[in-house]
Amino acid sequence: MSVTHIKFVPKQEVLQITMRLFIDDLQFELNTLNKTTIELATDREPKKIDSIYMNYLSNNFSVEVNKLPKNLTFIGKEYDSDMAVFYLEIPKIKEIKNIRIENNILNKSFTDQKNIVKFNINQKQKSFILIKDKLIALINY
Amino acid sequence: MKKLYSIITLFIFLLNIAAIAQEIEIKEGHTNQNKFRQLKDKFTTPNSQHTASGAPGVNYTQQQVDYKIDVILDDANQKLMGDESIVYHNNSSDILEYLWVQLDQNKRARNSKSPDIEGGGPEVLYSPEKFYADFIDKPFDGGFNIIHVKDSRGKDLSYKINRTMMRIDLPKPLASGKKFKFQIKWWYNINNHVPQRDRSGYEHFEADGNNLYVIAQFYPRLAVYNNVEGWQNMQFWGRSEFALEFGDFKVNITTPKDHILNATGVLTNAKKVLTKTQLKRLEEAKTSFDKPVIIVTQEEAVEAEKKNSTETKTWSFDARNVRDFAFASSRKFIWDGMAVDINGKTVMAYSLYPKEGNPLWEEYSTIVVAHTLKEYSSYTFDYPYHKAISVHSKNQGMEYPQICWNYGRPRPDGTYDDRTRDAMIGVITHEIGHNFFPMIVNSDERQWTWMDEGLNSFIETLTEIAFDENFDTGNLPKDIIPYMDGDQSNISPIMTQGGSVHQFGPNSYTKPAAGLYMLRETIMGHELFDYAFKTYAQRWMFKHPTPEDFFRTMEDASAVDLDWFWRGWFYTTDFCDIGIKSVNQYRVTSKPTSKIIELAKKYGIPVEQIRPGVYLTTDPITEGEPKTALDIKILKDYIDNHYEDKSNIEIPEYFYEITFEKPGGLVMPIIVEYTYADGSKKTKKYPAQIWRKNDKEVNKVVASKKEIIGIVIDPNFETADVNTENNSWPREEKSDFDKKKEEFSNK
Repeated sequence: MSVTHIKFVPKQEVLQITMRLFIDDLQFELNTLNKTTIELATDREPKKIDSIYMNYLSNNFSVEVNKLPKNLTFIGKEYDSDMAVFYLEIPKIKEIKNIRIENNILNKSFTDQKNIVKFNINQKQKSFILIKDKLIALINY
Repeated sequence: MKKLYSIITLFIFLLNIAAIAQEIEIKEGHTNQNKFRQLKDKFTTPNSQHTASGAPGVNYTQQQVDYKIDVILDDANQKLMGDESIVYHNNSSDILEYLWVQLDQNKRARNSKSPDIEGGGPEVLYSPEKFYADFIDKPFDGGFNIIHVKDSRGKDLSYKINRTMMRIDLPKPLASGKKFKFQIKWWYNINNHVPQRDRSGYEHFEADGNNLYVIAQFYPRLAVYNNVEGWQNMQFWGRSEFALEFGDFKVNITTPKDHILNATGVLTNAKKVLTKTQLKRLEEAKTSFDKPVIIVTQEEAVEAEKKNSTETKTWSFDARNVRDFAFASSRKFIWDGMAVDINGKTVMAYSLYPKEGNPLWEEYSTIVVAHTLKEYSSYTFDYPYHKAISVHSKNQGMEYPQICWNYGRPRPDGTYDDRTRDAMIGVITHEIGHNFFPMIVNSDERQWTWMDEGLNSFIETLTEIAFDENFDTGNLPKDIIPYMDGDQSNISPIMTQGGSVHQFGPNSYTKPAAGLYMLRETIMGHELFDYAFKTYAQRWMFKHPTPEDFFRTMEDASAVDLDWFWRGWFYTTDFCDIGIKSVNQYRVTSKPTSKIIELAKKYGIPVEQIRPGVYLTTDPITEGEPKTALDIKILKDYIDNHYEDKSNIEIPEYFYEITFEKPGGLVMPIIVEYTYADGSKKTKKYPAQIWRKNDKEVNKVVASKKEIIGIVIDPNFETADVNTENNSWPREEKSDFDKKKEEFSNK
């Protein structure tokens, strides 16, 4: 399971994304995809883990705003107990007429993966549960 | 008037007590739970073996065990055979009826109980390999096969194997000061260490058909018999490591003729096992202090890989005063080395690696070994051995005396990313560092993982920062916050036996390392900390220290009472959360305040009779009040009468009462950064003892010449404060995300 919060902050013209997922699941997925045996959130974690995460997230979590694909900016990550928390941003967003998310997080390794995406945009809140057969969330404002 | 003043003072005192008594009704008595109480409830009573100062006492003893081992490495069948003779010196004052020998290989025996204690449900998804390994494959036929156990005259000795421990029944009790000689002959199947991440074994290289052996825990090893635990014969389940005695080793290892091998100890027959050219290069390396010299080249290694010699050769090693012996052997090894100057003594830094490790290994490994030996020596004692070897081995990070296995493999095309490089630099620093803890400062790893891993990770951190000031060590106080802020059911105190701790890495490596970093940087300061830490290392080098020996020495050598720190950081899972509850601004006045008037009234004292005084107040300002403190006549008179030179006197104009709160269980210094109206900043550190009488809340009156416009607690993240939302005044109006972003950019 993963939980992603997406919030639009018009004052800063930025889309703020917070994603939480289980470290063990993420480690399994990364090692399966990259054919590695790294450990996450232990003393054996590779020192440059952020670049691995960024690579993984950009390939598996895509965002289109107003029908234009947007690049994610990696702000940082932290570990909270057995969860990894990612802080991502999409800058220079003046307004949002529509938003489209394609979420492939963890579903290479886990056939029953559920990805929850919660939007808080233009004072409206909406949630989606995305699974392998339904990868896309789309909202028009 | 003086009397009245005294009465009022007394009355204020009583009033305070009354106010407190109203809030907290104490109905029952209580025991002393003060966080600054001494650790007498936790510490063992000192004695003449482990003294109250933390040093070894006059009656301290430890055993010595000397080994002569002839080993044959059967590369074709991945078997190791050994014939071992042991001399056990009973230096204790006790009479021993039996000896305990550790059989670590039995952890991999078919009847091993190690897999039986691992719980957990099915995997979410099985790869075919994993499914086969878990449910179809037969267990590996590992474990020691003991051929015989004989005394020095060849007579069979009675013994009993209890899993990873073997009891040797002595024909007659071994008196104090006596020694006992015996022999064990054994063999075992060497495991492939890659799938299960074992600490030793071999890796097989499909492309050229060769094996790379990293061999350790390979011979029956005497268990420790010490002053505090008797026999340390707790079973080896697989995680908590070793407790070993010091002794001298003479080891002959027979390998295929085309192998390159290195091991603990001095290679005594280099001329027989190396070519003339290699010997010449080895001599060159011994005088090369600035860069490594290649002793066995990649071309020679690649050539050897192609052969599969059935002839053998024997490597002889002589190791003095080591607690263990290990070796690495392969046709694939490239070997380089350089000299390191440790306070005038030359020590050799070596690396062994296959071509798969290049170019990364020839660029970094030996350089990092040399750097590590120098840095660690500066914090502890001059490295006493003649060499330290870093061996390239897949997925490994494992330490033995003078030799260790380290990961860090470039991609097949030889390129590598910074992550791979830094991970390799980190693991080499860590494992080479283990030569100091626990190979020399020989703590009991089976019981206390943190005593070697934690202390080692701490010096590793300083060593990595010295190598590259931007190195992400992962061992700083800020790095342990997610762990300490986590679910309490998944956290253990550091003072927990290694096999039982939750989250092994953060518990046994990061938290003790971060705690020591905090002691050095924030609580004790470099000079006091470094002297005490060095004292501990030097007192206990080549001995068996206990946790108390460390805790006591750090205090004994520094005059810093740290019982509160040990109690909180090592014996509990409490976390640090200190915040600012409120800030009230006061002004100075000579006009009697409402508080004093009220007080006077209660005693029936007319306002006019209250003696002139100086007040800090929040009462509404009235006309005619002094503008500054110096406008108050009695204060000005006092200063004029007592201080002729007023050039150094600063009269404060702003007064604040700051209330600090402490939702966290740990006591810690309060580090406060004041920001003034002119943009300047000042940091003040209040010692942890500020919490000694109130564990929840304390307040301070702060006087300042300049207006304070901002207050931040722990601005540089020194105390592992898990919640920074209460750390600033005025409270920030930022979202969690914004704050995180700021936090990340500050990092």
